[in-house]
Amino acid sequence: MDTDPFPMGVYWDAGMCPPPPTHTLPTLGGGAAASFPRPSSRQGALWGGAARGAGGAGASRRPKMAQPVPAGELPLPQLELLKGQLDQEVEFLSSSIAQLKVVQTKYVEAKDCLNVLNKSNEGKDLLVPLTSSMYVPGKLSDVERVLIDIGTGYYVEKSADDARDFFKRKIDFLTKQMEKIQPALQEKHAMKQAVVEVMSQKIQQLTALGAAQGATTKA
Amino acid sequence: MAEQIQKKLQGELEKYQQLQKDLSRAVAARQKLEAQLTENNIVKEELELLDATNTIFKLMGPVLVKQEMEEAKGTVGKRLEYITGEIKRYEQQMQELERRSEQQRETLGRLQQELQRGQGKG
Repeated sequence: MDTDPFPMGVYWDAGMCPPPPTHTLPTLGGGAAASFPRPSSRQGALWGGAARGAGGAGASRRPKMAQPVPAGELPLPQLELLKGQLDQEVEFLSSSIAQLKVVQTKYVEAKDCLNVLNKSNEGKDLLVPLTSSMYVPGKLSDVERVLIDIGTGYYVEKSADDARDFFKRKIDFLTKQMEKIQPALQEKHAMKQAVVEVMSQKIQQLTALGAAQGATTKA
Repeated sequence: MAEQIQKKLQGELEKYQQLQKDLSRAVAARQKLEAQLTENNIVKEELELLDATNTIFKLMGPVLVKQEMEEAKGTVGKRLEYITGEIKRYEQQMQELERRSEQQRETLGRLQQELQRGQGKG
């Protein structure tokens, strides 16, 4: 009778209780919402409820609010799963920020390149890449117009000043997006720390209990 | 008797997992669409800022083809409409899937209780 064919673990895997938090994660311009059951525990709000991090494009995922469970009362395996989930989210948010940074650097570089295209360099010789290993000599003929990739396969010819504005706008946009993600990342990090704390407390309790029992059985 | 319930439970569980998989696929597709939506919005804004002095090219394979301003704006607009339509469709799909998975969860809970009662008696 003690062999429960469906131990708690299975249901947890099936996402039975609490239901698995469903969440989308930030895209380059999109939004993010994570959902966790919101607790009201004496240990304070260990789980920030529907953390709408990185706002944007109204990606409001439906928060699967189950019955709020104080994180302090969760059994250890579930805490582990929660920690794993938070880990994943922190990882994802960090890598998103990193990717945004990379793109931003590219735009900054492009903007700097424009500075080379000034009057003093007009007519100078240069090497034009035909492939990644073959170049042909050429002359810098036009320093006024540049061709910019504005996305989805569209290229626009602009003046150098307009191009500079364009890059500046893009860089600002990316900075804004990164700033949106930052607080969400910190929040998730804090939640993870809290969960880890609760976990270590539990483990301590368990080992203390085990030691006490061991002592009583010996005695 | 318990065996039957167990088997039923297993079946329902699988159905539930399938629903979850479908749901996550729909979520992923919607994410992609949102990224495309944002990108197309950016392009649309950029096109608005242009005047007659700017030439617009479209990348078709390895070739940059010259496009008219109106044509480009039209294409981007149509694409935006398509993407918004797709997102709506996926939203509906996800709501449906969630409703069904909610039902499935209830069924699973019921079966689980039945099983426990059956075991308790035996």
